[in-house]
Formats: sequence, structure tokens, C-alpha cells
Amino acid sequence: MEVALRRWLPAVRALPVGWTAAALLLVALLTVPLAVVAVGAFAPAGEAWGHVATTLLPEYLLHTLILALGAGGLALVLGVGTAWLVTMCDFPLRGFFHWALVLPLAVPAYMAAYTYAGMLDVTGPVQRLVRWLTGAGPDAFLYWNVMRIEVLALIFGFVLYPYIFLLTRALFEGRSGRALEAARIMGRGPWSIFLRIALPLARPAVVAGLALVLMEVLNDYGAVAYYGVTTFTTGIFRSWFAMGDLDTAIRLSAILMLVVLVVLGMERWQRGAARYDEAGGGRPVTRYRLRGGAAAAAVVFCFLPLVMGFLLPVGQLGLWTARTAPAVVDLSFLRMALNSFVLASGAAALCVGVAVVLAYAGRIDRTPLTSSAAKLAMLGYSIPGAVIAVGVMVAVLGVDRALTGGTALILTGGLGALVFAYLVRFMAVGYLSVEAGFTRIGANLGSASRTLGASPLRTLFRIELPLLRRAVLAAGVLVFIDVLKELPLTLILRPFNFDTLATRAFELASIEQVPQSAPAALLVIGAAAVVVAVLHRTFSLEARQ
Amino acid sequence: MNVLTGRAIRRGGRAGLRRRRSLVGLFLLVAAAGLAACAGGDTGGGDVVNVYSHRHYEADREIFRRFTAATGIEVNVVTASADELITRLRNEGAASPADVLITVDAGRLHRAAEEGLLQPVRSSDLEANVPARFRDPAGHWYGLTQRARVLVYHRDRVDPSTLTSYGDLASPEWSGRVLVRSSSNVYNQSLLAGLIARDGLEAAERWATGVVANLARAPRGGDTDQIKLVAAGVGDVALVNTYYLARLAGSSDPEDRRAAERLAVRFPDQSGGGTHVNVSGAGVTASSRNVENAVRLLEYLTGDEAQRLFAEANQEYPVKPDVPWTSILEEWGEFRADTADLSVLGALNAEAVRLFDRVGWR
Amino acid sequence: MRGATTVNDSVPDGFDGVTVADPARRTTCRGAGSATAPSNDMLRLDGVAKTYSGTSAAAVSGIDLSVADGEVLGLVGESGCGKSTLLRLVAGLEVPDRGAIRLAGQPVAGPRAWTPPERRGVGMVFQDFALFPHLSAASNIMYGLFSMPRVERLARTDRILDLVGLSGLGSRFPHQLSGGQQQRVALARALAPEPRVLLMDEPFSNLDSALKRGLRAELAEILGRTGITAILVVHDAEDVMALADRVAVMRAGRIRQIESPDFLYQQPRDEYVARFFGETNILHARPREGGFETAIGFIPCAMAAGRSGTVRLCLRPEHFHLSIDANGNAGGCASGCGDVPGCGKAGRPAVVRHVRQSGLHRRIVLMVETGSPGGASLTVDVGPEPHLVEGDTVYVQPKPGCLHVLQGEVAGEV
Repeated sequence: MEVALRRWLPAVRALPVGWTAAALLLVALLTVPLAVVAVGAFAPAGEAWGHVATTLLPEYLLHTLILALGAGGLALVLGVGTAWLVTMCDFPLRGFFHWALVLPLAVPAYMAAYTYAGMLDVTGPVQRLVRWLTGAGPDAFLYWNVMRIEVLALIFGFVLYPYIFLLTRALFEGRSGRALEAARIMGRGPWSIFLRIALPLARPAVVAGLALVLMEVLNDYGAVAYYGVTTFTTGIFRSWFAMGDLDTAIRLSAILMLVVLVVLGMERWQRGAARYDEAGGGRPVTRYRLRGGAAAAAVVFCFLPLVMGFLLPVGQLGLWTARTAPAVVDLSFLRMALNSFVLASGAAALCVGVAVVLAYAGRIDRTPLTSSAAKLAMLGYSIPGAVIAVGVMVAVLGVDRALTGGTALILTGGLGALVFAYLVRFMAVGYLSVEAGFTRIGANLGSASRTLGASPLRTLFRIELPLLRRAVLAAGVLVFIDVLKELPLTLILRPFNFDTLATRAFELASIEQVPQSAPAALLVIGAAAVVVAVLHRTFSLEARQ
Repeated sequence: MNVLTGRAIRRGGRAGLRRRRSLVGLFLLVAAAGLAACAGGDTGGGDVVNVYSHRHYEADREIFRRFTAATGIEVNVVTASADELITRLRNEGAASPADVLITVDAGRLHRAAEEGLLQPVRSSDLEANVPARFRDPAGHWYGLTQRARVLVYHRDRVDPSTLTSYGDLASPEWSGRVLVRSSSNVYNQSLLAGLIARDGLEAAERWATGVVANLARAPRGGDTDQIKLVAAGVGDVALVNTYYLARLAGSSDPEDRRAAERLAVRFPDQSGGGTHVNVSGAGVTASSRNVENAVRLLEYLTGDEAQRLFAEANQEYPVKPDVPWTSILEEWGEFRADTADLSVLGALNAEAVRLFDRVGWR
Repeated sequence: MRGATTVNDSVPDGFDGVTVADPARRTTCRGAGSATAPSNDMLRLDGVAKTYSGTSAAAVSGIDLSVADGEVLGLVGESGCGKSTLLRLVAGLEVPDRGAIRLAGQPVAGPRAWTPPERRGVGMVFQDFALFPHLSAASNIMYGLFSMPRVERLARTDRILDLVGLSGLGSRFPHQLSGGQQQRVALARALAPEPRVLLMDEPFSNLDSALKRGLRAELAEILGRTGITAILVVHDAEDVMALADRVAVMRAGRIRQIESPDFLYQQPRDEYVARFFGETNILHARPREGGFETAIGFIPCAMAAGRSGTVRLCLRPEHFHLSIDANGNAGGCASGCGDVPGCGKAGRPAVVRHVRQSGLHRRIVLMVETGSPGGASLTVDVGPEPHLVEGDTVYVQPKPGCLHVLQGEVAGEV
């Protein structure tokens, strides 16, 4: 400790004061709601605590673990596998998969869970088809129990793998040049290169993507509640909603946060001194040309997640929409769409802006100070949105009290508070993507700029950001999509009469009018898909000109 | 790479960058303007009433619109789950903008009243519209609609005479035939709370244990899913709220209607304590600054027009006695309801949840 | 130690074509860590140490160093010895854990001082050049001139493009330039803001050897013309000897010796330094009356006086006398031994093991009979005559006075 201190002290003196202060201030702001939750862990246990801790916790933990392993494992295989295929191999439809494989991200996990249940339901299209094909009578219902934890884990895997795909793909493309080609020249086969070189190289991106996937799984409530799977998060809501014991809910959330913090810390520690910077730009690699069976296998492997994570859910939603749209869709959809779009884009822009400040400050400050602090700001992604909402409410109300002495609410119930809550919630998404982008650029260009007399700010705008624009746009799109489909925060913190497409879809689904919720859900997915496609077009045009 | 094309890329890249930068600027401007515009909505002065509601029904919006048309009072709504709204109310304290809290069960209203988040209000119209057993004696809250938790069975496989009470679900002859949703659902919680209040904790626990032993599959999905599974023959009887079956019977999907045709409703405990009934209801918040408007809204919601709309749109039973039922509900007929004090549902809710967890009703 | 005054007229290849810098620029050699700082010190490091987090060994430690105004200092050493770290410390890209750094007398890093890189006026050429890929060559060069009026900026950019021989290529982007051109842009970019100190990290490591020779000469000329203070990190002895006024040899984070290139070649402090500057023969020896007893025989030398124990002798390949018969008939005295006493007598018999042509000279590996099994291997330079082939027997003898005694005693017997 003392050694570490002595080593740090000179570096602390050399801190870029403005940047560090700005970053720490932002982190402080973002962690106030989380601190509210963390402090709750030390409050006296509520009445539900003993009950939950003794009767339920083991089962909750087991289920959470199964979901995390299943979803994480599948997402890992799909995400890394498809990223490798579209960057390093040539096969039919590669260009299409290159961007289309991101699409499942647009499908909210709970919506996918609902559509799969609906699809295989006794009155669902699959059973209808089977009855029609077999000529069985209308009474010949089949029963497939799809509402099971294994199925849910697969659904999570299929809709969440794009996080890993996106980050890993960017990394393969960026560093594609030297290491992979070097390995190829040394006579290594594609499998060997993939396992021995590409995977270890891709580790930071894979880990970042996996962290996002797991945190999404941890905080999900809609899907697990519908499938009757009890997890840590259902425990949180059981204490709060069913037993009216918010203290226990907060205490459970704090535990969840601590676990995530430890896991993030362990990753950092285990990564150790290994460096993943890469110097210079990557030029396009010579891809492996796949033929015959291998090409077919690659197409199938890429189609699988696209079908399962996007086409099937969207198809089912389309069927429902065709049936219910005339009764459900009205002019208010326009207003909701505008609300969704404005909110998502505003929050995405702000979130990425803050993420850039945090990541850049961490990059230039030479101490673990800022980057460790930024880790704290990422915790919001792991705990259920409804719990963050409570933290945000307390924090924002505190400001209101300070301003008005408790007589009026200025920020509470306003869009500002909601956008702030999004930042708390999605900072991990923005930060991880931006940080991965910085890693890809390497440190030398920034250093060169500094030795040429450019201040950190000038360096950021003239050198880092222009080179970072892909990562920044990608981060923005991820946050945009996340906000677009976000629910609990929007539901609890929104102003009066403020509906978004996601809240409308959820309201209808929650009163078991899933088919009626389809038009709004389809619009959410459609908007996200359009943004993904447009972004892809921008990039590919730029690369082709 | 060809030098010429390489150069072109860079040129395009830079031009694109400039274009994009101005695009981003424009976009931010629009976003800011949009946010400012969206943040509008007068919630303070003027003739308004601000509602926190757990009722997500489309019909409710229509009812609020009609109220505004009739009275000129603007209705502002935030919908979320009752527990979240109660937490928001509690945190906002005296400064809360909310005037009315609407929930989908009496237990949550009771909990809010216990915490001092609701204020007692009285009006002759309200007392005339809402029978005494559907409202808080002190006037903290008033019921809006009734929901009966009933048994839905398969016409071909079940002899209705063998199915008369909630208790039957726990008897061995129904082993492997019962379908019910998760205990995290508030309707199950209030049913069990009602049983605890009526029969005592031990009897309720025996019953819950028996039901769990008889389940055709572990609890999952919603009430509609349970109903469809009965139609599919996975189980023979489901414990659900009436309006889910009524809704399925009136669905725009012929498959749904065909499934509903195989099913029938049984009101349990007609010779005993009566069928379990909960209400969705509303109360005026303690912090309300528009109490008068809030009371007018409650009066309107319990009045003839709104009650008819509630019934028609969502197949719920109106609380106002003389409002006509929908044809499906008429067809199922009158039934005897449990008349116990609804506030016990809130008081015993946590107890019921612990019991569910003890017996393994997930 | 410094008694060895012999000046060899036969120097290894690398020494040919040395650009002898303007003598006015060359300052007197000062030992590392001299106590007083002359006022013309451009850069001065006192007790600088740096350990990277996550590692236990110090990247550099106890660095005392001063570079005079206009001096070109070479930093050499095996990879990982801390050369680049030292450069980054000077540039302000790393913060020293201990010690102080002064630029032109002003503290820029130290217990109470910190100047960020952008305010140090230090230019740096990175090993991978670190050219900004989204900016043209001219824009790269102009990047550091942002505080200048536009007209002046353009003029200077043109001038400096000219200086590095890239006129007309300013509109190219880095990926459209060859490696050598990229290197020049990087140099031009670093020079453009007229830094007080220029740092170059392995400037030739990314270039092929033909390109390197040309660039090296150009760089030497540019350094001479601009009279800039510079530190070059190089791992090739030839490069550093061609460019530097003084050379610091680093090992394991410390400076082992800092002297002029000639001095380092002639009088390396230890085996590490000796081996770094060209091929050498290290012989264990026991001091005797009037000379050293070695495995290849007695070598008369005044430096043996007053020594005891076992020492190591450094003998460059050109430090041997070779004869083809036992009578000492000179077939090819490796270097003109003239009338050096002792020259002309027969040496030890040895068998030629390997012959390698190296420019005008040939470098041969001999196996000397020493009495002990296996014998001793020696590397010796000979002239074009006589023609020797593998298996020939020759007689070898060190030239008296050519040897150099390395520092440090050796344990054990010869």
C-alpha cells in the first residue's frame, strides 16, 4: 500500500486537474443515486429480509446463476463466432450479416419472451400450422412447456449477443492487420488463429460485451416474472411490491451491486499488466474464402441468431399487429414516437458525451483514479431500473428540497430527472464502447499531439474524436436503442401524460393484452432497426467511396 | 490499396465528417427543443387533477377524456405499478403534484392510507355510488370496479358439481389438474389474504399446500395463459379473474374464441363464505392541492357513465349497483361474494406472501 | 585505465563515413552525474526513477544525466533496458516516481514541479511515427503550429517539407507515403514547432537497411544544420556512432557508461558495453610482472602493474598480430604493428575455423591451443593477404598495448 502510494503521489501531482475534476464530478453526480442504494444496505433490515434471506435466497441465486451462465455462454458463442465470420471470412451474404446481426439488440428481452410464449401457445401460429398440416381437429392441442428457465436463458442469449458481436467485431476489424496476418503467415490454420490469437486479442472487447450481457440478464424483471422464474431481481421486487418492504429491496440491490463491482474488479485485476493497445490503423485483411459446406455452415451460423433473436419475434409481432392495429393504433402513436425518439437521442448524446469525458480523463491521468471512479458509474447497469428510479428520486428530490425548501418540485417529475436517470442507468454502455474505441486508437497519437503543444482538450477534438467517431456513434446507437426500449425508469419518473412507445407496449402487455401491445413494440424495434441500418450505411459508404 | 482510391476515401471521409458534424448539431438542437416542448404540460395551477394510476387500460384514457369534456378539468396521468407510485408519493411528500392514486387492488390502497399518503374525503355522490363494503369507512379510498377470482374449467372433462369451492383445488382428486399463476401476482396474494382472514392462517396454509401439490405445472405466465392451458388440456381447472375469460371470449382472434367456448366459469364458495372479490379503487392523496377536482373525478369515475365504460371495455363488474353488466357477465349470472372488510387484504398481504414462499408456491 | 592512448587507424566498417559534427557543438565529456550543472545544460536529470504500476522492477532508476545545448545524445541498450521510458519521461508522457528533470534550467518534473508535455517545448518522433492518419502530411506538420498566423504557418510548413526533402508531397495522407517518407514527415512534424529538445524513439527501426543508411546521413545533416539538442534512442551501434556526440549505454534501467562513441569503443567500462559496440574478445587474465598471463599466452602490458586477482581483458578483433609460420613471418599483421615491441615473435598456434568477408577486411574465427581441452576461440581481423581457408594453421599474438582492462574483478582462476 505504502509503495503504491509513493508511486502514485508524483502522478497525482501531474494530474490534468481540469479533466480529473470534471470526470470525478460527473462520477459523483452519477453515483449519488447508487450511493442511496448502497447506503440502504446498512440500514436496519426490514421485516422481509429474514424471510427472503432464509427461504428464498438460495433458489434465487441458483436461478440467477443458471440464467447468467446459459445466456452468457450462448451470447459468447454467437457474438464472438459471428464477429469472427463477418470480419475474417468471405461467404455469401457476409455484407448483409455484417450489420444485420446487430438487429436483435432492438428487441427488448421481455418482448422476445412474450412472443416466444405466444408463438408456441396453444392458439399460437405454430400449433395452428401443425394442426393444419396434420389435419388434426381443432381440439388436438399440443402442449409444449416453453416457459422454462432454459428457454429463457436461450432467449436472453439470442437477443443480447449483439453487445459482444458489436464490440468484438470492431476489435477484429481494428487490429485485424498485423497479429492475425502474422499468425496466418506462420502457417496457422483458421481455427488455431481464432482460438490462440484472435480470442485472446479480443478479450477486452469480449469481456466488455459479456459484462453488458450479464448485467442485462441480472436486471431483467419483465421476462423472468412472466416465465415464472425466480431470480435475484424477482426477489428484490417481491420484497418491495408484495411485502411492501422497500428497505429489503434496496438491501438486495446493494448486494447485487457489490457482486458486480467485485466481478468488474476481478477482471481488471486479472487482466493485469497485459496491454491491448494497438498502434497504427488497421487495413482490411485478406479474408478466408469459404466454399461449399463451410460457406453454408457460416451462413447458417449467422442466420440462426438473426432468425431467433429478430425475425421470429418480429414476425410474431407482425401477425399480432395485423390483427390488432386497426383497433389500437391512433394519432397518439405519432406523439409517442416523437417522445421516444427525442428522449432516446437526447439521452444518447448526453451519455456518450459524458462517457467520452470519463474515458478521456482516465486515459490521460496516468493513475487508476479516474478509471476506477468510472467503474463505479457503470454499476447502474446491473441493478434493476426500478431500484435506480428510487435512488434517482431521492437524489433529485434532495436537490429540489435544497432549492425550494420542500415546497415545490422543480426537477422531480421532469424530463431532466428522467434523462439523468438514463445516464445513471446506461453509462456502462456508453463508457465501455468509448473506452474500447480509445484502446483501439492506441496511446501514441494522443502523446504525439501533446508533444506538439496541443492541450488535452485540443488533442481530444482534433485527434482522438475524429479517429473515435465510429466508436462514439456506435456507443450512441447502443444507448439510443437501450433508452428506446427502457421501461421501469421511464414508467416511474416520467412527467404527467408522457407516453413513449415502450411504455405503451408494456402497459398493454402487463394487462395481458400482448397482441394489442404489438404495434407499439414493433415501432420500437423498427425505429432501432432503422438507426442501426442508417449507421451501417454511413460507415460502408465512407469505406467504399 | 490504390493510391488514388485511398485519397478519395480520405476526401470523402473529411467531407462526410463536416456534413455529419452539422447534422449532429442540428440533431442536438432539435433534441433540446423537443425535450423542452415535451416537458410542457401544466400540472400546477388551473383546473387540473393529477392522477397516479396503476390501471393501464385504454378505456381509462377515454373515461378521463370524457370527464374533461364534461367538467373542463384537465386530467394529467402517470401510470406505473402501484408500489412504484406509492414510493414516488412517499418520497415527494407534501410537495407531490399527485391528487389521486388509482390502484388495481384494495390492499395497496389500504397500505397507502396506513402510511398517511391518502386523505379522507366525503361526498354524498360517492357514498351513494359506492356500496359501503367497497370503500374505506373513513373515506380514504373508494372502489371503482370489482374483480372476482373464480374457477375456469373445461366443459368436457369436469363435472361442475365436483367443483364448488376454493377448497376443492386442494383435495387429492384434483391432483395434477390445477393451473394457477405465480404468487408474485397481486390477485393471488389478495385471495390468500382473504382466505387467511376468513379461515385462519393454518387452514389457509393447508389449502395452499394442497393446491401446490395438485398443480399441473409450476406457476408461470398470466391468467390468460392458464385459461388457454385448460382449453389445451394441460390442466382441467384454472384459478383466474373473470375478465380474462370474458376478454378471450370476445377476442378478435377466432382461435381464442374457439378456446373460450370449451370453457365455463364456476363461482366458488357460493354456499360458504362467498367468492373472493377485490376492487380496483382510488383515493385522494394527502398532499393534493386540487382536492375539489379530485373528488369530482372520483364522483365521475363511480358514476353511471364511467361505470358502464369500465364494464364494457374491460369486462369488469361495476361497483355501482344499478349499472348494467355486460352480456357475458350477465350470462355467467349473479353470484355471492365474500363480504369481508377489504382493508384486511392489505393488512395480511405480506403474511400471505410469506405463506406462499413457505409452501413453495412460486 | 585511461592510459591506453593507442589510436587505431584501422577502424571497423561502421566508423567509415562518420559525419563529424561541428566541433563547436561538441562539448567536453562529462561523467554521468557531475556535481555542478554548467549553465549551457539544455536538459538535466537528477536521480530520476520510474516503475510502472503492475511491475516490480524499475523501468529506470538513479538516472543522472545532462545534455548540453546543441548536443546530440544517443541512448543505447538491449530492448527493455529503459531507453524509451527515459525518453517518455523527458517528453512528459510519464511522471517520474523520484528525481527531477530540468529543461533549460527550469524544473519540469520533480518533487514540486510538473509541466505537462504540451508546455515543455520538446518534440518527439515516435517509433511507429504516430502520424495522424486523418490529416495530410502538411496538416500533420502544421498541427503543432496552431498558435501561429496562417501565412507564417504555411510558409514554415513549406520550408520544413523542403528541409526533409518532401516538397510537393504535403497533400498526401500518411498511408499514401512510403515508410521512409512517413519517417521524414514524423521528423518534420516534430521539428516544425522548433522544440528546445528533439527526442527520437528508434527512428530507423521501421525502415529497411538501404533506406536507413540514406536517412541516417540526412538526419545527421539536419541535426547539424538545425543545431538542435537531441536524444536518440537507437539499438544499433552503427546508427548511434554515426549520429551522436555522446552515447549513454543503458542496462536494466540504469546508465552503465556515458562517453563519446570513440571512447566507448576503445575503453568500454564492462563486457556489456564492450559487446554492444562491435565484436570483441574477452579474455580472463592474471596480472604478472610486466604483463598479463592469459589462456593464449603472456601479454606484456604496463597496465598489469599494481593489479591482483583475475581481470578481464577486452581485445578487439583488430588487436591481434597473425603470422603464418612459427618464426613470426608476418603474413598479415592484423593492424600495422610497425615497431611495437614484441611484434614479430611467433604467437600461439591456432586453427582457422571460419572466414567471413567483411568489407576490405576478413574476419576469422580461430581456435587457439591453450593446453586445456577445447582451446579458446578468438575473433581476429586480417587484411586481404594471405589467403586463409578453414583448417589452416596460423600463429596468433595480441598486440601489446592494444588491450583494455574491463572494470570489476573476476572470481576464480584463469
